[in-house]
Amino acid sequence: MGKPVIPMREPTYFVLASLLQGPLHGYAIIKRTEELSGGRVKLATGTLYTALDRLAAEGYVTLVSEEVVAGRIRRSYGLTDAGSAALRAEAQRMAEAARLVTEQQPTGQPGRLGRKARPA
Amino acid sequence: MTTAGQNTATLERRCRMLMLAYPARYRRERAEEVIGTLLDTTPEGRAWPLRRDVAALVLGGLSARSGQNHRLGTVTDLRFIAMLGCAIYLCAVAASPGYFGLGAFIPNYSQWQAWAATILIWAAAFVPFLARRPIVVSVAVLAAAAAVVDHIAGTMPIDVGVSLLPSLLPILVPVFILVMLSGESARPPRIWLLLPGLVVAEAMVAQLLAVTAQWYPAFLWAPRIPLQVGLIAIAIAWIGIDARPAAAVALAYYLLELQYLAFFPTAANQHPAIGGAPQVGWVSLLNWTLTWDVWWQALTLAVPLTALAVWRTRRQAVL
Repeated sequence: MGKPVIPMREPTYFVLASLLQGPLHGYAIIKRTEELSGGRVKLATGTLYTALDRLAAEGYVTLVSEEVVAGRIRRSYGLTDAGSAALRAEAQRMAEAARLVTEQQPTGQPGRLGRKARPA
Repeated sequence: MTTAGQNTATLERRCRMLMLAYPARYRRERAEEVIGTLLDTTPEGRAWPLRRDVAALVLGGLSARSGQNHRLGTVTDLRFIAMLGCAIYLCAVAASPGYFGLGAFIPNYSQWQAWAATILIWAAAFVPFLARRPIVVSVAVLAAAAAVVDHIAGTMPIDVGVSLLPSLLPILVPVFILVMLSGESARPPRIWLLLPGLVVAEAMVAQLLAVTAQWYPAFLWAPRIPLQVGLIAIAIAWIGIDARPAAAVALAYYLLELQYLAFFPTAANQHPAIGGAPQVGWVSLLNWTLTWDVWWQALTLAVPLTALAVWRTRRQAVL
């Protein structure tokens, strides 16, 4: 395990974020991930399970419960403390990177360094 | 049964078929769960999963087979790469007729004896990946190989007065390294053995062709080229899933080139009594014209392959 893996791939980030409210099963993670990312991250089933395997190996998620629904096994996965810490560390990193841009006061002449903005 | 029900049954059957990309152990544990999720995500009425689901299942299965689902750490990765590199190198060295192989080390051998030794060295390359007790089995295999080589040496018409041992070091040292590296619990994925297996297949084909070459000389090389190109192509394609086998192929090339340079038969390192069998000597390392094809191979094959593998391994480490 050791220190959190940073930066994360976007699907990994959203999979972890989807578990913040509590454990979910595979299909629910796919739905929630799509919802949280505004439809941008559409996980394929195979990709999800590969990601879950790697996240479980890393100690970021863990199997929480198993139930049989309509004759088929359904497993729910939850965020571990390490997973939660890694997710927060990544969120912090992205927030700091975003702040560089969002809190920048517009100074100097616009378009002085680059091309002049073309009028619409 | 309704059409929708039939579609669901067909869809499930196809999902199950696609799950064959995964290793059997993984399927036993996860197949039902993954198929359940696939049935939920696939839009109503479809008899095939979505195209991206199909692609992800095949890639996911292959990556699970390659042991890519958990990071093993740099040390283990390097250990695996070194093991596979040594195995590919051994398979190639043991087989190459006349030049690298036993033929170069052991003159006056009879065909079947050289083949027995070659097959035993191939076995020594595979044992550390498969045997429960690699050290014990490898020692047994090597003892058998030594007996064959000793028998061959005994049939030589003259006492050559030189030890065969230095000539056999390029085989003994990699076998020793391979056995030492396999001592720990985690082994490289078995699917990696496809690559040394291809080298062995290539050698077999070459041998068969050599028999027919007296009638059809053109057959000697033509069919071997697709096999050799195939080895490189598989290693490069594999980079999409796992970069480690490609790194091992590059390592095997470096080892082969090192061996080639050490045993290049020049007038300076030939022993007259044993019919020009090359012995250990680095004379040719400095001889640019002799070694040009070695540098050429390194520059066009091994170096780009290494660069590609390193680049991809760094990306693989990202979660």
